[in-house]
Formats: sequence, C-alpha cells, structure tokens
Amino acid sequence: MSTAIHQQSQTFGAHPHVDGVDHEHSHDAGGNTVFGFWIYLMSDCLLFASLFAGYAVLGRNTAGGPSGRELFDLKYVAVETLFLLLSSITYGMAMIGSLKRNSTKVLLWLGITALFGLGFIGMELNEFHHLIEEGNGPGRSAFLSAFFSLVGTHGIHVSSGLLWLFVLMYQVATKGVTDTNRTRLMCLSLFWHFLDIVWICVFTVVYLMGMI
Amino acid sequence: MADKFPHSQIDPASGTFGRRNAARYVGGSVAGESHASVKSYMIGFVLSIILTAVPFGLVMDRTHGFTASTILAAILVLAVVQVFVHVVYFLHMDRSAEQRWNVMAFGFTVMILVIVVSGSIWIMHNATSNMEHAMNPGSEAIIPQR
Repeated sequence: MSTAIHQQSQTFGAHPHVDGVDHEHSHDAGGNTVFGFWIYLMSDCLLFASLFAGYAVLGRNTAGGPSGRELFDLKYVAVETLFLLLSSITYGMAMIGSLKRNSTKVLLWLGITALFGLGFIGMELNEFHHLIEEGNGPGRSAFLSAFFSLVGTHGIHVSSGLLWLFVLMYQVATKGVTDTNRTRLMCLSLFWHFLDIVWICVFTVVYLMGMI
Repeated sequence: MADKFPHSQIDPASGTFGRRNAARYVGGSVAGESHASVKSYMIGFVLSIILTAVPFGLVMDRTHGFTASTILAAILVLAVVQVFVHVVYFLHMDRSAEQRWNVMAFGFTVMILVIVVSGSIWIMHNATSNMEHAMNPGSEAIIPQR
C-alpha cells in the first residue's frame, strides 16, 4: 500500500523521491526559496535605482545650504566602508562553516559579522546625528532630502539584516545547521553581499563624487 | 537504506559542493550555493580593498594633479569593476547552466536600472537647460521677466 502511494508520488510529483526519504523535497524547496529571494533582491535593486536617480537629479540643489563638500568626511566614510567589506568576508566564512555543518564556526563568524555591522550602523547614526544637530537635516534642502533617503534606506536595510542575523544565530544555536537553517543562511548571505554592493555605489556617487 | 543522494556531498579538497551536486539545484541554485570557498572570498577581499583604496586616494590626495573629469571617470569605472568583483567572488555568479536564471534576472535588473537612472538624469538635464534658456533675457521667453 505504502509502496503504491510512493510510486504514485513518483509519477505525479515534480520531484520524485528516490528512496522515500523526504529531504529531497525540502532540498528543492530550499533551492526555490533562495531563487525567490534572489528575485526579491532584484526588485530591491530597483528601489535603490530610483533613489539613486533622485539623488543624481537633486544632488546639487542645496537651496543655499551646505553641499556635500562641506559636510562629508572621507576618512570617516573609508572606515565605514572597511567595516562593511570586512563584514562581507566574515559572513562568507560563516557560509563556509555552514557547508561543513559546523555550527560553532557559523556562530563565531556570524558574531564577528554582527560586530562589524553594528560598527557600521553606529557610525552612520553618528553621522546623521551630527548633520541634524547642526541644522542640516533632511528638511534643509533637496540635496539633503535625497541624501537622507538614499543613505538612510541603505542603513535601514543593514539594520534589518542585523536583526535577521541575530534571529538566525539563535536558530543555529538551538537547532544547529539544519537544511532549513542553511537555506536561511544562504538568503541572508545574498542580502548581506547585496548591501555591500549597494554601498559601493553609495560611497562612489554620494561621497566621492560629492568631494571631487 | 541506500542513500543515493546524500544531501551534503562536500568535496573534501575544496570544501565546496561538487559540480554534480550543485547541478541538482536546477532552477533554484543561486549564487553562493555551489562555489563558495575561502580562496574565492580572499581573492574578492583583496581586489575590493584595492578597488576601494584607489578611488578614495584619488579624491582625498589631490597632489597627483589629475583633472576633476579624469578622477570622475576613474572612480566610476573602478566602482563598476568592484561591483563585478563582488558579484563573481562573493555572490559566486558564473556562466554555468544552474546559474542561468539568476544571471538573467540580474541582467534584466541592470537594464531597468540603467534606463531609470540615465533617463532621469537626461530628462532633468534637459529640463534645467531649457529653464535657463527661458530665463535668458535675450530669448523669446514666455515666462515673464522681473
């Protein structure tokens, strides 16, 4: 009886069981999840494209207020950039730990990634705080509105990524590197590297081009 | 129970999923799933450091004497190169069959991105120059001059 049902599932199922072990299904579902997440990231990319377009158009409209040249500190931005790049590498090391299903290694590297991520967000919040305190908040000019929208949206993404990172650390700590957790780690890996790519565009278009 | 397809078939030499194993993720394999290795992350890291340090150096240290437009062109090119370095070494995107849909989605997104950004800049550039033309007293402007 169970053999008959099994054969039926082999005939009609999209992903036939090889030996009745169900992990085949969960695997394909994991692959689809990651691909679906990739599609989400591509749409997120378009969100950033619109914000970059807005910044490119309005970046010079300072309404008599300060321009980027007077506000930005490139040494500060270089340190932020380094933090984000280092966090990308340490996340990569966590992924390699997950391939070997080594949860201690995964947790260690995720922890280091979180520290760099927190460092980045802390520096960004500090920068925003100083700008707003000196009267150069998002309401000052179109340039600053576009600046806060673009850089702030990136910062909110990194903060969400950090929150997700902590949740995943808890899940890996309690359940280990299961197939499901590996799929989750994979999705966050894409998200985290994607944010680093967006940051390359931010430091080039906003900070470096603003200081030329 | 014969486990014909052990689900974590890791190549002990490279610490990565083997090609055969990766091919089972058809349609779902994404960037990073199959070819992650310490070596690829390290290559990506070193290249990224260089591709970040050079543009920062060009803008911060102005003793080199390059013109502003040269610097602008250089930092834009270096940024594009670094994006590709991240895509290849961190997202592990390549031209293999199991990556095809990821690459297609990425390519389409880049196309839309270029249209949105360059289109916005072009339109607003024209709008600005036409406004300046209208405000020029010598022109046949219909906008009343003060």
